[in-house]
Amino acid sequence: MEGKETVLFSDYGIEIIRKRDAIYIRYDAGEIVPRFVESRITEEEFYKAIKSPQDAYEVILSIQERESNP
Amino acid sequence: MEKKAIEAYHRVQMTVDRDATEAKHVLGNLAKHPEKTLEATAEVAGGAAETVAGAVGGTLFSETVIGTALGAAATIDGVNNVRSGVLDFKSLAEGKLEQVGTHNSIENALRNKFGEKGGQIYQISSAVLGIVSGNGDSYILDAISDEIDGIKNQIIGVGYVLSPVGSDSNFKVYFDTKEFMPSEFVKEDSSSEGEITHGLDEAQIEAIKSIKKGERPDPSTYLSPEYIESHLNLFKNGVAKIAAQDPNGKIVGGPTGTFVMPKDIADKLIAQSDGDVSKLESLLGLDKGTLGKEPVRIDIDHPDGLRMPSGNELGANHQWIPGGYTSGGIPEAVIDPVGPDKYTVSRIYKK
Repeated sequence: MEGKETVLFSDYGIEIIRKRDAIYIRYDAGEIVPRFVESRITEEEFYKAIKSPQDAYEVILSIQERESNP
Repeated sequence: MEKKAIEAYHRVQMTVDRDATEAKHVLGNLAKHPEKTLEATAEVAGGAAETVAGAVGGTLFSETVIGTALGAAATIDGVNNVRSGVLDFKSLAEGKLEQVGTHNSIENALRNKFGEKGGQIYQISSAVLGIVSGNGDSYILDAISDEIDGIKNQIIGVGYVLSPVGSDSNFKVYFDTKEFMPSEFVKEDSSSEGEITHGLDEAQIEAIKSIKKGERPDPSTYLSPEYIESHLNLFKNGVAKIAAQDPNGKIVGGPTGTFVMPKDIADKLIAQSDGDVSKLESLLGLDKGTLGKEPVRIDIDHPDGLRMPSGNELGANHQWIPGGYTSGGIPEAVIDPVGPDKYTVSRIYKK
């Protein structure tokens, strides 16, 4: 079970949720066909992502880079 | 291979002079029945360049979009001698449409060469060609004479159809580009031979792909305005996405946009899937099960911010290729995120 989740933010194509004590960002990483992925983010990234679409983009970009080079 | 291709091209040209009258006759039938042209084209790929097929290819080569495909196909195999494939053109000339594709179809030829991927190329290319051929309302010759936008779009489509054949198998298609290739497909440094790409050569593609996502250049810096205009014109009838689930009133796309395909292509792919989700997944190059059991289509009739993908999009993965086509060959563009008031959702397969 994933446990209860609370939506902290939802706009411009992203959702930021809290599950247990962690914060996750959910976004579409697909091309023509949507593919939603969920990645854990820090509190700092959370505050950046909710600032603007461009900030959210930068946060996700850094997540993608992090996850592709673990 | 290159030498063979050039030799094949010259043979086609010689045949044009010899068999021009016959070729014109066949050309007329091709124009009347564009939906059969792709199948016939395959037969040239099988090896025929002389006699009727060569003449048709050569004639169309310089006059029509389909000729580009024919000519390219004629060069693919190095072109040996007349083979059974020519029969398709004879059938066309004689008005025996039911026989076209029965001799030695393109799908089989492509499957034989490239396996399942070949089959996908055939399916998608059929859909792309269908943009202009439509439901029989717009014939190719009419389109040419009217100089409608669709022709230019189809050039892109045909170029695309052939391009994966080359790249997927290290099997390059060469042309004497100066005479007949649209400028979009001619390398800047091309002398007498160029290769068909998505407006770029392999070195350019690799150079762009090697740049870190987020820092890739704007496509206008490496694609001509004409190419971009033609490509985006493919999306003029609206755009679509295919999804496993209804977005349920949420915004479609990420913070900086989302990939879309032309609505017309979505129509064709769905029609070709024949009610089979796994077939649709295959046509879209997706893993089995990606679309679930009841996929939906999301249509956006009036998208904002239609643009060429730059590769900086969040959805651009390692398979992304500059030039506006997916690695599976579907035309793609990017639009701004879409609010629920701007899209419609419908089940792809009605119960």
